Amino acid sequence: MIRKRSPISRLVEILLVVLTFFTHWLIFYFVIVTACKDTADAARLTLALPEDFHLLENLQFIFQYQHGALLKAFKNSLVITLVSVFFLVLAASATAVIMQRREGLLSRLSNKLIVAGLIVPASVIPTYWMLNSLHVANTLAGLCLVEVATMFPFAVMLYKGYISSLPTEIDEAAVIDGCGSLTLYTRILFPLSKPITATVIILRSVLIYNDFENPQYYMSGSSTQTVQLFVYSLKSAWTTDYGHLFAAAIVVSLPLILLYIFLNKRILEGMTAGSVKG
Amino acid sequence: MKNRNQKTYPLWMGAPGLLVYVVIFIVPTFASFYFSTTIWNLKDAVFVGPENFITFFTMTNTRTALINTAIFALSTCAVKIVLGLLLARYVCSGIRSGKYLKIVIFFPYLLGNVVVALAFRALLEPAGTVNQFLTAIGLEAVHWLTDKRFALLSCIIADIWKGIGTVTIILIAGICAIPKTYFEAAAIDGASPWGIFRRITLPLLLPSVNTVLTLCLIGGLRSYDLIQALTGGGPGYSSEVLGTVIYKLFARGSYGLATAGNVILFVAVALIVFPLNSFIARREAEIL
Repeated sequence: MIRKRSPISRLVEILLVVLTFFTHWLIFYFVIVTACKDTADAARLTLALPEDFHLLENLQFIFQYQHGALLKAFKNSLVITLVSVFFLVLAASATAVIMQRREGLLSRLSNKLIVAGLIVPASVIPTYWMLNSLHVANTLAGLCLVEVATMFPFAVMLYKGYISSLPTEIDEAAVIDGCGSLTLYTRILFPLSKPITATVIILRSVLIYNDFENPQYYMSGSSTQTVQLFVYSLKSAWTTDYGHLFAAAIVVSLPLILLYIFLNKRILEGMTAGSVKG
Repeated sequence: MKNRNQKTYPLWMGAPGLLVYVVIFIVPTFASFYFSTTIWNLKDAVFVGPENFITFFTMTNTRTALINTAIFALSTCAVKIVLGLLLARYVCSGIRSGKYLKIVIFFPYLLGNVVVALAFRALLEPAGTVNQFLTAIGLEAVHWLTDKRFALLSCIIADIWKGIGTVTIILIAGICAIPKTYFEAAAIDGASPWGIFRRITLPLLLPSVNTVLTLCLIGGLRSYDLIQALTGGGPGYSSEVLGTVIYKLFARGSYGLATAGNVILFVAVALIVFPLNSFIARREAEIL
């Protein structure tokens, strides 16, 4: 049924689109333009175009800041994101298969634990204490463990929901054909869960890359930085030097902005898949 | 048959993930209940009973933080959901710019909280862009981040800006999942747009609203990064929330007291979210 839209509805649509110009585009424009200004010009905080184009100098400054701390931070963030997501996908999918398919008390019990983890906030200092007793506090490995553990319940629920929609006949047929339990997982159930794997990889990478709280707590005793910590420390050192600060902010956000430009459909779909609770 | 099941799905395959989760998440959670009743330096813990909690509820900064956390969580949650509902309903009515609106509104989700805080700091500085605009149209400049009355409000605005995309996207998916025939039938029966929204969209949307409400409340109660980077809890204690207070106590080595703060957060989340979920589940059962 095609309905004629009322003029009011058209007007609201135009107003909304114009509104995004003020609430979003103007802010992006402001950040980009300020990143191109020198210190004095940027300090005026106006929307005017830069008096002279200073972006390259600003970029040079932040890349040389503290002997290339930004590049090191990039490397650390990349390592943390990739390693955490890799182990998260592996561990969560395997656990979900066992919890969904295996009968018995243990599966039901772990189900309760996982649901609780979706809701309850992590207790930071006892976690620090735990990392300390495992001798991984203030290391990248320790931080990866924390990221995997905090993301674990959500990923398991996603995988479990999906695996429950796969008929058990597939498993039975595979077992009759001589599939062992490991082959069943690596060759059949894991490849079949590809949509969930994609969702988990994309959404959790964004969260881990942007994470600030966990690195701040669990890397506080080390000089190792992530990109978010780098921007924060730059902010503390150069409070109002917005030319340099915004140049750093843009550089740090660029990987995810590029990801969004190419994968926005996937990301938006993944967001809603993530909201369906198991 | 049971034997076969146990053999095909061996426990060791699920164990590594569960082990990491239990050791890094569950054990510290339980340990926090004990450590919150102690004076603790990570090595030795001296039991002091409920003293930390009494301190937490009586110290000005921590008490302010508790109140601010409640204000922050409730207000961001309410605004995000109401605006998100309106936006989602509108985007789902088949307008041409729907895809554009979705992509733009969701975009801030991709930015780190520190980056968002930086942008808002520049905008909200005393001589910043927002105040330049306000004075240009003849209004009075506001000290958004340095005036005690406005600091928390500024954090709330920044958080809504960043978080509304997620809420809207989930609600859009919820509305789009409602069969079109319901709306058509109601329209033929002469229902007003508001009547359709209230009697059809909203009740059928309850599962999505439930998800969004839970996510927003938990997120709001836990929020830390954005406020830490935007105001650091200041000026004074005016924008202090549980997250920032816990970090300050951690940084100065009051581990027992900080953990008590964490336990309070834990209890608050559990007390609000679990009953809320069962309440909405009951309502859903009544409707369906």
